[in-house]
Amino acid sequence: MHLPTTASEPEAPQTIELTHLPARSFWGSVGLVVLTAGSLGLAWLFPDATMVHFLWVAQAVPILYFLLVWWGIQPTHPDDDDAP
Amino acid sequence: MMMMRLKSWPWRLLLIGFACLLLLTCLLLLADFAGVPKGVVNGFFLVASIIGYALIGMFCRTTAPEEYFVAGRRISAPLNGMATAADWLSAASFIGLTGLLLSDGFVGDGQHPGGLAYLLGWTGGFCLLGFLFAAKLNLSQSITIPDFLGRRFDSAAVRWLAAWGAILCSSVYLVAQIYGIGLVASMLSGLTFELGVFLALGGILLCSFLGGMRAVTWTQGVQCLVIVVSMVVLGMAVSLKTQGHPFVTLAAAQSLPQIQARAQQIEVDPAELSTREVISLRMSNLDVKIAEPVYAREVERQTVARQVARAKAENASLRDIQKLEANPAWRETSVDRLVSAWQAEREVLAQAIDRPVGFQVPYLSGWNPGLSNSLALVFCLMLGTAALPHILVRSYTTATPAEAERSVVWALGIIVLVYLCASSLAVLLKSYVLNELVGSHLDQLPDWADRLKLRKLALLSIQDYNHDGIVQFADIRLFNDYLVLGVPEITHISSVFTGLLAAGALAAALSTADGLLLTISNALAQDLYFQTAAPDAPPLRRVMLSKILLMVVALLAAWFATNRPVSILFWVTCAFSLAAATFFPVLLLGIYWRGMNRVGALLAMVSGLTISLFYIAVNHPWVQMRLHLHASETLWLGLDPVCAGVFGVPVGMFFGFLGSKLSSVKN
Repeated sequence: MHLPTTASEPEAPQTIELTHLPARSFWGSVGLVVLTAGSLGLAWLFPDATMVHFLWVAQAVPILYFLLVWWGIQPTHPDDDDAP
Repeated sequence: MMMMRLKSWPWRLLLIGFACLLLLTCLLLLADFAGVPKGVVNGFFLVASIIGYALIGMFCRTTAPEEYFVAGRRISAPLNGMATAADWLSAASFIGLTGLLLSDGFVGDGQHPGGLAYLLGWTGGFCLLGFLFAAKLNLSQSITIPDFLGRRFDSAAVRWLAAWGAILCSSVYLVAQIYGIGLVASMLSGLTFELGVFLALGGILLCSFLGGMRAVTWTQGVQCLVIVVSMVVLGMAVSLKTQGHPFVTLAAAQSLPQIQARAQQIEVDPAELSTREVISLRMSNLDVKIAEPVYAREVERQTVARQVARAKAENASLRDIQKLEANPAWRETSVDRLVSAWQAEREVLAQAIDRPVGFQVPYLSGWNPGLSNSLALVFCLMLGTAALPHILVRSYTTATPAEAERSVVWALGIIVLVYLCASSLAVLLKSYVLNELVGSHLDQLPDWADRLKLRKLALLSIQDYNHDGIVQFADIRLFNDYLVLGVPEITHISSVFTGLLAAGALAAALSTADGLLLTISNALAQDLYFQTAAPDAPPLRRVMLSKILLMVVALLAAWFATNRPVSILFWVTCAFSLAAATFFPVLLLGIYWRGMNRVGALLAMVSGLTISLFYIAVNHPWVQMRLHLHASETLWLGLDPVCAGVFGVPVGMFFGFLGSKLSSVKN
């Protein structure tokens, strides 16, 4: 198979297809902001609650990010619902 | 449900590799118990790693352009995820995160961001990558990010500018990785730092030079296994040692209450308070010297001259005399360098009293600069992760957009696993520092402290500021960047783990360096040279030039890293800020806004990059000293220079929007 090394070569699409943001990606991004800001806010609101910082922010939130991205990519393609 | 179609033979190979790694670790453990010298065991890990990676490179060698640049676009999601994780887990994040959490705590000291900001920023960025860019980039069938942008805006200028942006971000990142490689290789082999760099560089070059993206993908798959096994096994071993079970998160949670109690005890200890007073006094003295350096140098020189004369008269040892003469005021002829030395000393002193004893500074309440810095850093790291060219190009190597998205999920899963262990290890290490080191007599330090102090690559230094002969917390300086390499010694587990951990650290640095080198050389060859000078060049010539440039860039980066001491974390974080400011606005607007045009794209990249570069440069101590600036005049909103992307991204978005609107109206 031949590699499209430049835009002028026929194997590569000539134009980049523009799409809308899928709904799950939109809500996933909102969830990311809320989860991050909420978790950091919680940590700052209770600066002495080290156990909460460790168990929630350092351990649980990264796992929630993982679940969030897994959920967010489920309906994969441009024919998915558009963002509100 | 996530589809996981695993082709049988490559996965069999990876599983065999995983089993071999575990078997090798067990055999080396047996060798250690049988009394085989530590140097032999460590050296074995170094040599086996580098030879292994080089062999993969040789087996995957190719001159076919599609294989060399995008690994044939047929890498499965799990393998691409593993390669992305290895590509992303760099020397800073693998070696540095544990030390950072241990030293700076979770929420910071009220001035600077704590370790949690790094943890959240580095992991959250993958959500943005999966949501916003991975599928769209794969769909474009491009080969580099500048190629994608050039085609999206149908503009050679956009491609040219994006190529320089990619080269800049990746070069800043690469120098830090090469420095990390040198540290680990010299620690494992006992060679000098420079030789360590060039030895490891041989492994990188054999891999990426011969096989390009195809070899790098497979090597990174194996490196990912090494990284995960080394961190998980280390976490389990330390947990078993401290709490008697292998569940590292649980062990850390069990240790936390006792760490907190001990930290509170230390914080009110009169000896600790007196040490902090002495340090504050020294800082005030340094402030006076820095304000009047010429006068202070003369006074200091006269004092040192008297001390040296007295020491000679009393037949003091040569070592004592050399210690007196090491005073920068005596040694330095240049006032600039002297001020720089005093500033560095002041910074070390400030860190000694600012960093938390436990995991947070006591009585921290209300809004403070640390919180602004944390938010800004999370922003830069998330957007930077989603916009780093060497991570984005991994979206091109899968067959379909869906596979590209799934590979992001795999990558994040692996990275989260490593980080859960790293943060738990930080907690467990803190208990050793507070319980075994703080309060010990200087002449009866724990054996691990002596070893960490005296090794060639010192991981620890202790200065008795109040001269009471007892180690206080503020007397201790831990070298965060690579402290994790001392975990086996601190926790008294087998020295085999030192080799395993260093093999993991080497894998992390090598895999990132591989990806960065490919990105830089492809940008130079494909996006700059062939785009402008030889657009009709045959594919074989393109591959050959990319290979040659890869070697030149690798040697240049190695030369730079071996000539200057580099703060790995600072450079890596700057690279994230630069990538966020240069690429995030143009990619986001370019993919999702039809109104974005080439003028907007050019303005977005130029303005974002310029403002971020300016902010980093103007706050660099060297520039401040030359231009007689002070941080209070140059810091905007009190944000650290590494958070430059927080200004660059909105400025880039604004100018991208404005440029597109104005030029479309004109047209």
